[in-house]
Amino acid sequence: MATVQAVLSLNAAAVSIPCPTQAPQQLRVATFNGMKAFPVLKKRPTALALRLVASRRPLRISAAADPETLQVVSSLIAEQLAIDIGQVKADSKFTDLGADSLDTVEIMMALEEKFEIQLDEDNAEQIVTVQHAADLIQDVVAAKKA
Amino acid sequence: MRRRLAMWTASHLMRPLPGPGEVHVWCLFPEDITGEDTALWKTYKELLSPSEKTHIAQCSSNPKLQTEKLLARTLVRTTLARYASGIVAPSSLRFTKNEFGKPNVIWPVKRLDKWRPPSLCFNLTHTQSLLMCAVTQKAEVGIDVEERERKFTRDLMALARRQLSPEEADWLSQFTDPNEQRCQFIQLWTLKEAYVKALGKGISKAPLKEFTFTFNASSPTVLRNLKQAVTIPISLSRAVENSDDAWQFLLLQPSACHYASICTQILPSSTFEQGSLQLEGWSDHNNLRVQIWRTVPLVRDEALEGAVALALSDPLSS
Repeated sequence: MATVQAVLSLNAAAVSIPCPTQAPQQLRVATFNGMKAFPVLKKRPTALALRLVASRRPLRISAAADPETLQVVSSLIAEQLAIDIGQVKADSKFTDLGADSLDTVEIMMALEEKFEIQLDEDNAEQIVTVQHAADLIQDVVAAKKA
Repeated sequence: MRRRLAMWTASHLMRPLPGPGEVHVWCLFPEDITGEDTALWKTYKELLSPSEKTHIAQCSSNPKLQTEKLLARTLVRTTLARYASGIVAPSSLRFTKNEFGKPNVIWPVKRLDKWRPPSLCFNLTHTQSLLMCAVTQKAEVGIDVEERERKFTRDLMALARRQLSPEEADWLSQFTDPNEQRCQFIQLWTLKEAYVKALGKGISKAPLKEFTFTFNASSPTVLRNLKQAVTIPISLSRAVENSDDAWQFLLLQPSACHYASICTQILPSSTFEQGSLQLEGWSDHNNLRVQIWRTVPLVRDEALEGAVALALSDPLSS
């Protein structure tokens, strides 16, 4: 399965100074090698700027889910797999956590129920890590509200 | 380590290649290996490639998962090396994946006198309590195993409606005993997974809801040395690529606690140079022959006692 790394080009203004009053950004669709990735919502600059400071890794230009969403997703996954939540990191792959295909389906169903959304099978298939799942959830939730 | 390598070339651990229409299945029960056999665990770790070792080290917070992953790599490496007449060591094999994640093996030795690497197809599946590796010659194969007592966190019928075809879900809904319903779901699931893994083209090419397995009890099929099985016709409502391939399915219980399914391609006999083999004690009904072993890699193999065939499909074109 190809790992989709959505490479976005953020415009400089969004990256520089946190600006809580800035208007919400628009939904943009990322592409990689001509394949459409799942829609990525640009984060409020405040959260993104803070994340950049905290991260020690080189700048990963993908809009990340906010910490609360990530926390809920992580704890659901930990519960489904009956493992300690400490083992569930943002970049943990489902398979590395011991999830087989049936676990993954049950996790998707649990997430749908928790967030009151529907997950497209195509999108669900592209989820490799916990972070992907959280990002997708956040996008779908946002799209539902929009 | 030297002692183990010497054992490696011991003839009783080598195997002749699977013949046409034959599937070899190697079962590893972690309970057969005690924690105290540290020398054996060390030997297993030494079989792994550097990237495999790194990968396993990453799950250090989950020892059971680590063990499972270690045994999975050990099983697949030692299994494939069995068919190389002692020429290839398990640690020297390299593995790649196709674009959909289906693994393939690269042999380190391309030729040695008259020996050439065999054209093996293989597939691996595992749960914490049982690991299985299926091997064929030239025919694509898929295998999936699940624990019978697997706990579901979601409502089973909701899962069934989502993942199975409508006909299968309807059939499942008729079971009133929740235990039996769960067992039937698991059986269907392993059949589907085995098919998808055999195809090796990912879920999107064979979406699970678009094909249906039905169990037809009207014409039971007998497999010698295994219990009576029912025929499962399989209908595919959507054509997949390579639709002139014939596939055959076997549903079995490798132990009282597990269900497993094997899906394999039926190849024309012209694919093979020799004529088809007749093996003692095995029926060649529908051209599918299965040999199953219980193994402790590098230590011993024995026939798997107590394996029960539940259902066998007629070879059908997809």
